[in-house]
Amino acid sequence: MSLLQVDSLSLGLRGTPVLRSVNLTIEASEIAGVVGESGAGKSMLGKAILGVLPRDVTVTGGAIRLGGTDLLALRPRARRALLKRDMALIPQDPLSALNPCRTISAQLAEVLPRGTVDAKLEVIRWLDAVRIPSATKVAKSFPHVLSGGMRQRALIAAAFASRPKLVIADEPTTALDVTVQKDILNLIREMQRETGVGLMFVTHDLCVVAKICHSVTVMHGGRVIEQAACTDLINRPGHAYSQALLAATPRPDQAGQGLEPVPTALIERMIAGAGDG
Amino acid sequence: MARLLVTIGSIFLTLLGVSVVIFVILRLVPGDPISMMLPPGATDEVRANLERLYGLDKSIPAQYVIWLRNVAWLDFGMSTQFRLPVMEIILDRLPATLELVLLASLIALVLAFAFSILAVWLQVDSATLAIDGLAGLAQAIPDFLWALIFILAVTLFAPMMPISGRFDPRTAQDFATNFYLLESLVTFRFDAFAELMRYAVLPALALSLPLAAGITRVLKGALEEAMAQDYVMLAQTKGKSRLAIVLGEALRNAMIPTIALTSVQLTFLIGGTVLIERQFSWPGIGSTAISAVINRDLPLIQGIVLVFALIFILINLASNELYRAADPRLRTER
Amino acid sequence: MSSVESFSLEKGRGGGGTGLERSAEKISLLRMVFGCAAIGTLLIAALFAPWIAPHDPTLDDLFLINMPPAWLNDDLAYFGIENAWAYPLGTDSLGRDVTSRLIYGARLAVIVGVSVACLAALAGVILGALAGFYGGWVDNVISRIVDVWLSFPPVLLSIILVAMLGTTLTSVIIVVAVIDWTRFARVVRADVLQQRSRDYIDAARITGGSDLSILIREVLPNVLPLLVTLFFFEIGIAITVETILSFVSLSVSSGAATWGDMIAEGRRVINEAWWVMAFPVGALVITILGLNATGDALRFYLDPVLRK
Repeated sequence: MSLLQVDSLSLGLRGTPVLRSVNLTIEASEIAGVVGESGAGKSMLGKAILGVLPRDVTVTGGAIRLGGTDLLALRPRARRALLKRDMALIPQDPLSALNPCRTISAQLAEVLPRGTVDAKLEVIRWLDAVRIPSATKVAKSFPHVLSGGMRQRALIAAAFASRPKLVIADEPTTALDVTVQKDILNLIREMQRETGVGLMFVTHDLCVVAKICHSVTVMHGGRVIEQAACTDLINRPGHAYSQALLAATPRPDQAGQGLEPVPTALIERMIAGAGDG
Repeated sequence: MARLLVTIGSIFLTLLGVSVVIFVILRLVPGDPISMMLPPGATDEVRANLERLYGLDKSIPAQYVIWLRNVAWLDFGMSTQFRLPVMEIILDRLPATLELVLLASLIALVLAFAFSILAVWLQVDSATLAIDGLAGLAQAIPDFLWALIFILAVTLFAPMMPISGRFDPRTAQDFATNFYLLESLVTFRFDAFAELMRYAVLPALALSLPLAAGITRVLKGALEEAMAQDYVMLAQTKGKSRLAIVLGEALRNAMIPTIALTSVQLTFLIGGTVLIERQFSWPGIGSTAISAVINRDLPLIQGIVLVFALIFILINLASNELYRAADPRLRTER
Repeated sequence: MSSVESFSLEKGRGGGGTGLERSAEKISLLRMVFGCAAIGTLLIAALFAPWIAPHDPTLDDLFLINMPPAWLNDDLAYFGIENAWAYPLGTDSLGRDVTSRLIYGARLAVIVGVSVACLAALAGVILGALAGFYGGWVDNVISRIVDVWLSFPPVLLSIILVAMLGTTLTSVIIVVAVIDWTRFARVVRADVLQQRSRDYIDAARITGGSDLSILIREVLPNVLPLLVTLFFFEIGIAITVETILSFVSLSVSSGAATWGDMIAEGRRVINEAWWVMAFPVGALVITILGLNATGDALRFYLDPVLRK
């Protein structure tokens, strides 16, 4: 049985469809990329799985199953318990995703699984694991003293520290400095390998997908355009939209030699694309 | 340490400024305190003696210097109206005012936090509108009018409820201090406490409503803003309930703007005691101030205005410190 | 992540708005209607007092002491009158007609409220605009004065000042304006300070506008919605402060038909004649709420940012 199974999920924003009958399957220990331009609905898909949709966006049809449990059928309390135990989010903007009034340690300790004996020690162990220097000091400090990259490391630690089955990374490198993006991507991949979780990687960047994902889902306008294994999609894109998306992305030529920074031209194109709506 | 010295220095400077202003204003008040003290048909000699006794025969700057020198020794002069040291009168009546202010602030805080948290937690349009409406009403009507409305309502519908004084003069009140409410609470005399509360609750409520509304507006807005932040969404993914998020994540952040605005509103509340005490015959320094003005009791007015100014300054200082403590970004690295 | 949200925002604005946005418009209309009704009534009472009032507001009648309102008056013989509705809201402890005093009181309320608001707004806007526009030592001096003003309890200060200037109509108006100008000054200063740094002010400078014309043509229109709101609030505050001064027997010579005098008198006889205090309190509450409602509604209509 697959870890996560989304069956013909539809979302509506006060009557306007946001997602139209989306199917998605994620296996345990797999990194599944979800690619699309701004407004494709990829982030909404992640939020729907987590159950943290904005107030006026509602599920209008379909099912979400995690390890066989239908999430949409659960009562809120049961769903929250499952969310805490089995799922985690790596957010887009590390600057606003940490509560400025609480210490790093407090925000990490609360995700540790039930029955953790020494929470303080465990927090420092996780901060070490994501290679934050002088973890003891960082644990006691408030978010504003950390750089964006360090905050994202802390958030990655928080995502994996709850020992979830599924982690959703929502454009985790977009808000970061280009020089830091590579380190963060490597860290996420490494943590995923070590823990063996299923990882849903939401991004607009095919370059990143090519580097770390096993399978890819291409979305556009709330629909799934194409789903394929990563190498297949990169080498033989089936749908015209995927081809266009790929053509706009410089091919990662020498595989296995580490990641290249995202070229500026691509980012500019993305910004222009978002401007068109 | 340097910061502390600067702070203390600025307190003294402000108080000095306030004292000069009030001293000059008061010397220009027409109406002569001595004539009010004299019995009909008193001789000029008696009058001159009294003027000398109260130092009113000297020039205004000379009077100010004498007054300031005495104040340095905590001697605020003699009240012409009560013929008692001003310090004694203030120390005697300040506790009643402080208790009233404390109770009113407490009521305001409880009401404001309860309603703001409720509105943000429920997230229901009708409840939000109702709470906004109530806050608007409570803020539009000044405390003076709330007091009159309560007095009217009590007279018409609950005549047993007291609307005058601090306690029933027919019952024996044996308290060691003038903090009756606090003392009865600390010494576990709950009957006496309940009786005292019956007298205190209406004036305190009248004082508290505008403050409660002011805090509610700021706090609710700040909470709503905090609830839209990414860290709230992340907290949701940690499986926290909405109430836990409001209390555990949003509230701390919402406190920061609330503290800044509450301190200004709190000084309004304290200024309001002047009238509320008069309306409910509450024996504090506020009602004493009005009778001092009417009776041209200059030393007493000066003393009371200084006490009010000192309280205002202390509140501002406390709110600055609280603000620094609430916002980790303002805390200096140690 | 942000894409769908911003999309949702635009959708919300284009398509008639969310529930709360729609009710904001409805509430503003309700406020306007209520406010205009209250202010209209007040103005009519103030302007036409001699023609509307059934009796002379200062005329004592020892046979008509503490007579209850007409609908509660079941002892006409005792008071020796034939029609209870000759005194619709009853009489006070000197036998004066409450209705007439209420109507004449509106007159004084309007005079005090409007004069104070005009004076305070004028002083506050000028000083606030100077401080905000020129900054530097001008700003320092004006801001320092505002700070000193704020470290006095306003009610106590007004009582002391009225005691100093005497209890005439003019002195009451001056005192309240002198105490309340800071309210306008603070708002205008903050807003001008903010506007000054914007590009269109520089543009006006480059095209050769004088400081004064820039202030009047470019800056003030932006502050106007807030000023209008404050102006209406201030009228309410001034009327309240006049009442307060009457209440501590320091306003326009006692015995005159003012709401404050009626309230002070009513408080003394509340156990015998609650209506003496109830009606002026009611009138004051409705007046204040009406003024605030109008101010808020006007701000909503005048301020393009609040509206959309």
